[in-house]
Amino acid sequence: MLAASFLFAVLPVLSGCGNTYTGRYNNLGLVEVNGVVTLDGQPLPDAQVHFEHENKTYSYGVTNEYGKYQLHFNSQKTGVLPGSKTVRIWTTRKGLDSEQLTQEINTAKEQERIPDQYNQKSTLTVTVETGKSQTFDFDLKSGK
Amino acid sequence: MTKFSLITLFGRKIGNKAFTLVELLVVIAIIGVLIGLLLPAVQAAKEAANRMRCANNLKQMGIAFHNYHDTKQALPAGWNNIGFCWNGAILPFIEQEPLFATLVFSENNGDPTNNGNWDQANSRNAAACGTPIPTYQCPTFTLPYQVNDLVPHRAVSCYLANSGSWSAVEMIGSLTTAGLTYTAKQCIAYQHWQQNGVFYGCSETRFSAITDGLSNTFFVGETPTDYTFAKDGAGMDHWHTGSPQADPFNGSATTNGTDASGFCEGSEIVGSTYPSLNALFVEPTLHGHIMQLAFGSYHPNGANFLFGDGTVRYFPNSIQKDVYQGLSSRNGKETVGF
Repeated sequence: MLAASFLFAVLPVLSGCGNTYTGRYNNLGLVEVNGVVTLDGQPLPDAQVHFEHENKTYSYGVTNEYGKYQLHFNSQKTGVLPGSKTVRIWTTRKGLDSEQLTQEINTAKEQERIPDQYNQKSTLTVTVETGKSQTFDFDLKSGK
Repeated sequence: MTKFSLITLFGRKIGNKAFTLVELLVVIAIIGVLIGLLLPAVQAAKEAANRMRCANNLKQMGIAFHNYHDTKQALPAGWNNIGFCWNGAILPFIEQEPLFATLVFSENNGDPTNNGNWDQANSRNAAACGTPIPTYQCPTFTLPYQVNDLVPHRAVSCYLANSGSWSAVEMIGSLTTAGLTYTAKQCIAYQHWQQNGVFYGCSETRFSAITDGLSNTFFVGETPTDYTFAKDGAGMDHWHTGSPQADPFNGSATTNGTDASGFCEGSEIVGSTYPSLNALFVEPTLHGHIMQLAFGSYHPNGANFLFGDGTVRYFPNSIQKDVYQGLSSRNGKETVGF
C-alpha cells in the first residue's frame, strides 16, 4: 500500500515534467568507444581523435596525459554510430574545423606532429560493431 | 458519536484510539493521486503560458517590421556588410531606441575605443550585444540569457529570421565539410548573395518582392538556441544586434563580386528550412553545420513562427517538408496552405 501510494505520487510527476525529446538518442545504437593513442610507442597527450562517418559527421575525443581518449557523439553525449569509420588524428587544432576557431587556426604556428596519412589523407579505417563498448588503440609512427 | 460517523464504518468507536495504519495509508494514497493529477497540469499550464509569451514576442517583432517598412520602404537586411543584424535594425521599433542610439555604424573608423566592430573590448557596440532584450528571449529557454562568447555577457536570441530553403550551410567551404554538393537553387551557403527567403546578407527585401504573399511567407521563427551544444565543429549559438562573425569583411577584406569572403556566420541571426524543423531533436545524426541553420524550439513538438502579415502560427514537427519550405520562400509560387 505504501509502495502503491508512492508510485501514484511520483510517476505522474516524472512523466509530466520530462523533456519531450529526452529519448532522442535511444534509437541510434550509439556505441561507447575509447582507447589509447601512442606516437612511436610514447603516449600522445592532447591529440584529437576523429571517427568520421561516411556522411562526414564525426565523433571526437581528445587524449589525456596517458594518451587515452573517449569518443563523443556531440558535446552532450558520448558514443559513436556503428559502422565503418575513417580515423583522423591531429595534434594541432586544425582538425576541429570550427568557425569559432578559424581565426586561431589561420594564425596557428604549431607544427603538426602526426604525418598526413593519419589525418588529412587518412588511410586508417576501423569498423565499429553494434552493441557493446569497444576499445581501439592506435600506435602511430612519426615516420621517415 | 453518531452511527453515521466515518470512523464507525471502520468498526471502531471514536475517541478511544488513534488511526490504524490502513487508514493512514489510504489517506497517503489519496493525497498521492491528487498530487499526481495536479502537478503535470500545473507544468502544462506553465508551458502554455510560456508559449503564449513567446508568441507575443514574435508579434511585437511583426509590428516592428511593418513600422520599419513604413519608414524605410524596405525590410532590414538579415545582416549587412558591417555585421549589423536585423534584430538590431528594429530596436527603435520595439521600444529600445536609447540602446539603438548608442550604436556605432562603422567597419573601422579609427576610434581607439569605439571603432564600430562588435567585439571591440569595452566598446559601445559590444555593450549593446551584451544587453539582454526580453523580446528576443523565449521564456522556455533554460540556460542563462547571457554568456561570454567573443563579446562579454553576450545576450542570446531565441529567434532567427527566415533566409529561405536553399541554404544548407554558412560558408561555401562548409558545403564540402558537411558532405554536400553545390546546386544552384537547392543547396547553397549563406555566403551566396541570392536566397529565396526574406532576410539574408544585405537583403533589404521590400514587401512588393514577397510575391507569394505576406500571409504565405514567414519572417521569423524560433530556434532551440544552445550555446553549450556543439556537433561536427558547429555550435547552436544565436545572438542579436551585431555579430563579428557575420561580418563579411571582418576576416578578410576582399570580395569577388558575387560572394562575400571572410566570415559569413549568418546562422547567428537567420535560419533556413533546408534542415527539418527541430532538426536538433528529430534528426540528431544530421551534420552540425546543417543542423545549426534549423528552426525549432523547446516547446513541445513544434515552434512558433511569425508571418509577414503579423500573425503567429505554431508549426508542428510533423509539418510536411514541401509545405514548410514553401512557406519560407518569398516568390516560389507554391500553392501551400497552412
